[in-house]
Amino acid sequence: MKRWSGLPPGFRTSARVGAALALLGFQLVMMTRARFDDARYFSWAPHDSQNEYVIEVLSEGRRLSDEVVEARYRIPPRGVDPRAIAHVIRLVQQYEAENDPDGSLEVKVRWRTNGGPERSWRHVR
Amino acid sequence: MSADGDRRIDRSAHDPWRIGGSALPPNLLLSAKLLAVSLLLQGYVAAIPEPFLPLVSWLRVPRPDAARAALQVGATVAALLLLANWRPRTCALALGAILFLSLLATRGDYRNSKFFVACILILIGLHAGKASLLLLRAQIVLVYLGSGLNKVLEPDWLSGRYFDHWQSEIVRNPVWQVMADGLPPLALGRVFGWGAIASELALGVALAFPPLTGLAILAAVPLHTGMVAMAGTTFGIFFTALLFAYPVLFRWPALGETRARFDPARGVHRALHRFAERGDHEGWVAAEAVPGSPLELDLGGRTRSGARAAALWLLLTPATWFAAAVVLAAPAWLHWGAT
Repeated sequence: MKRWSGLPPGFRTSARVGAALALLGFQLVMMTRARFDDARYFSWAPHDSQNEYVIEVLSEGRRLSDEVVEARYRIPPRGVDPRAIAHVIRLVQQYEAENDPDGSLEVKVRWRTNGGPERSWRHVR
Repeated sequence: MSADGDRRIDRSAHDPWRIGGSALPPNLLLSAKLLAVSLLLQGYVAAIPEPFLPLVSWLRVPRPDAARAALQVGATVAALLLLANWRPRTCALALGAILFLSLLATRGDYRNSKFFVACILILIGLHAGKASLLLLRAQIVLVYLGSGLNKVLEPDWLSGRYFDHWQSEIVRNPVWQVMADGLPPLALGRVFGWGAIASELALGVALAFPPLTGLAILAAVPLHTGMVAMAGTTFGIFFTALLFAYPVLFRWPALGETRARFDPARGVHRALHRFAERGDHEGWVAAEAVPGSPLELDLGGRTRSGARAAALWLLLTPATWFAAAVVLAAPAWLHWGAT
């Protein structure tokens, strides 16, 4: 049966190997990028760190419930992220940039990495 | 009973346990099928989320609910067709690509374990001969070396703080507490941290060399099993995926290349033969009943006997692997260590 609209077999083979090499190359690029970035996507950094975090959202000084926060970001509002805390922060950052660009809510992420001192990040307008 | 080496007529071209006769080498098709079964059984296909806060902006879709349905249906169809041997290479590629797309489309759903499954399936789907086998090996080596190197560059892994905090505060492992009590602070964490780093780097190097592959996997399986026990988690689908990716590193023997001899008077031999007969629909191992014979298996000019022969016979029986897929799905069904 003819596949790939009848491209020559040699070309198909090269294309497959090329695509596989591209996938491996992508991972090497992401592994290198992870050395210059806090995030660890696609870079083989499982269990990079244990981050105990809490996401707090305040509306006019009143704290939103955990259920509301979870529905907002679709991740648990408090928990342990075993990758990099940047993954949590960037998710919140992206949501706020796309859905609340005026910054009407006050959003704060507090975390401890591997039991170290507490640190925090605040979403600002 | 005579040799049944000629028992090679497939019961059905769409027999899910069949791994030969496709565009893929049997070991690659076996791996792809096991990963597909595991994704289905462990609920990963059903749990593909709606695209939400994508990692790449062009994956922002107007109808996330429809996109989720499309991804779930696509993954289910690809997995089922793969199991039914319908264009397995294309289906493996499609299933892997859908998983990868799903990760790119949902920032909060990123998991290294899912990415690993996606990579293995995509590389199997791109199979184009010997070069592809090397690239699959390179993928597994990259995971080990990358993971080891990342840990080397993390001060908390080297100081022992990571392991100590993880085991004592996150996992709350009572055995860890007892062991750590009599030692200087972080000493146990350093031992385990450096041990994990050394293991990952050593496995990465060993798996790069085909002659060392068997030995490396014999070391890796108990190591990963120990980590699962210590962590109280299967690391998502990672543990399963690693075990089912290992077959891509071996050459599956041709039909008739492996011959087994067993004593029909011995219950254990009979049970093994019966299981292999039912679980190997293509006749990868030609079995011969020889009264009074020890259990023996000839492969590659070598004869194994006893437990080693039994283990190899089981490993060359596809049903063994599918049974393992069911067993490994149990933690997901029991909601044990899901993430």
